[in-house]
Amino acid sequence: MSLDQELRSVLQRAADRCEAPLPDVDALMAGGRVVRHRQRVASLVAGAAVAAIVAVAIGVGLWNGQTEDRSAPATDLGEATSVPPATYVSPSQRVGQTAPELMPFFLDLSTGSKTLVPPDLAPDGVGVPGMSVWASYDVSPDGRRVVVGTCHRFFCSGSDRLFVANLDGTGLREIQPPEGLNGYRPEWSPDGTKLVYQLRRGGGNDVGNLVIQDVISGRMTQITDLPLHESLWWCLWPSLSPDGQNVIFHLPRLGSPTVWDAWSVPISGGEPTLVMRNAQFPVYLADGRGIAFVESPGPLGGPSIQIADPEGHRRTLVEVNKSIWWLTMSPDGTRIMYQDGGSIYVVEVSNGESSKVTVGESAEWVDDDTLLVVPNSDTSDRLASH
Amino acid sequence: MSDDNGFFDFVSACWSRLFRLAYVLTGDERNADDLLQSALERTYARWSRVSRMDAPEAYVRKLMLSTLISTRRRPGWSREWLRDVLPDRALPAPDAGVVNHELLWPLVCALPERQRAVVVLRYYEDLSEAQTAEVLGCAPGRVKSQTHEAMRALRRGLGAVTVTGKVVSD
Repeated sequence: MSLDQELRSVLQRAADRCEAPLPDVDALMAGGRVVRHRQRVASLVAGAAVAAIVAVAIGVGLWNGQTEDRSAPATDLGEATSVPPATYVSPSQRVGQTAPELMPFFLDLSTGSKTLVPPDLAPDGVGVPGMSVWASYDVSPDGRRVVVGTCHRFFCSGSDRLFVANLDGTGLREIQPPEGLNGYRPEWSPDGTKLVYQLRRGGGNDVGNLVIQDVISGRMTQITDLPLHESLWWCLWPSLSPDGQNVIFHLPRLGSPTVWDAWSVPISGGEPTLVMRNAQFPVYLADGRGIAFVESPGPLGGPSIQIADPEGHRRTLVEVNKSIWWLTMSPDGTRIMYQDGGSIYVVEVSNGESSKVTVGESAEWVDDDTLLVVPNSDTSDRLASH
Repeated sequence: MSDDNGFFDFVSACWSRLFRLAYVLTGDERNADDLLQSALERTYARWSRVSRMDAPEAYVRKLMLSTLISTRRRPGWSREWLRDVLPDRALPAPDAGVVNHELLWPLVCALPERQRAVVVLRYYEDLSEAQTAEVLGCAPGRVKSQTHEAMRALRRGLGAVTVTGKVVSD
């Protein structure tokens, strides 16, 4: 048999061997590139993929109205769970010794004025006494509450803690995760009723999974069952869609730990969908379909912010020589804040006009004209620990 | 489907064929899925126009091929092989002069995208050189040279494996 004939035969046999079910055409039409569905290996066991509802805790039970010494309220455990419930407790101690130059501050973008956050919301105020603490903040959509993630500045892992408080510093409560696990980098849902964050086993390179926690009932739902269990670069950077129905996050590619792809998963849990390759720090655009992300085939942080629409068209929003990271979308969806080389920038989504607004390590939107900025520190490079 | 203007029916009807083509083009089911869905996404965006064409399926096929070839220019895209398990190790041909199917397929997959596209169109889709050139948007002479290069690479690959097989079996 000649090579020509062999080729015909081999190609036909290869084609006959493969089979793929028809995709969700409705989703394909509605979601464009976001619909890409990747069958992933083993780890996502059929029924389990949809959320192991890990009932946790309780009553945040309205933290508008509950008393400080309230012990862990009854937990809606639902079905049996292997994870013990979490409780909200008051922090045992508040130190409030953060040096003034390290105090986070509110930055009014229209006037440029800066106002320090209340002492109780300073990193040491919500962190571990006596430790150098780094903190991330996310303000609820109604602008009244803030969720704070803290960890030790030098080994951000294992000491991660989550707190919620009123924006004036009162009503501080710790979200206590299940024993042996830590919550990392929390974010509010658009309606202010839920938090999404990464739940992982601190102290190592555990990637863990994403969870959604209802702030009223305390019920925690695990929404991913990731095949990647450990990675030197483990942060997932979850962010909710404007309608609150999906979480987009980045994940190191299996077998290529320094290459990142953007994935999405419904808040009810399920198998993640690949949204974009070589994409870091993804956030949804205001329409909930397109995304913005840092494009980089390499380690965390990259030289440009890209915008991709559902049809797969892309444009470069910002291009710099340094390393962009930490994207967050303004509440009205018109601007993106990003960090680059120790400075905080705001870029217009519509035209790519970018302005340096202050120096800082990270920032989050309080409202459309205000950022909550975490200053730079001269201590170890936080990027190195992620 | 109420207002999809037949897109759902179109996808349902041609999915299997197109997926097989995508598979032989990419050599990997996930990349095939990726490639085909990309093409269908773009097709849907222009569906009002594409649906009036004589052969919408040919349009999707063309999109797949152009995507396959153009994405190769992006660093890293084509170097990634997503596999659940390691591919089987190639074995020497049991009978001299007979091409081992198990060896030929990996070699086809290892061809550069444009050569693989040419091979697939010529030997899987059974297109002529002229038709292949039209689909790929290049000159027939280019198809001929690419085919020649591909066949030479395959022969060289088969020969190398056979030699290796003999050494190992000794």
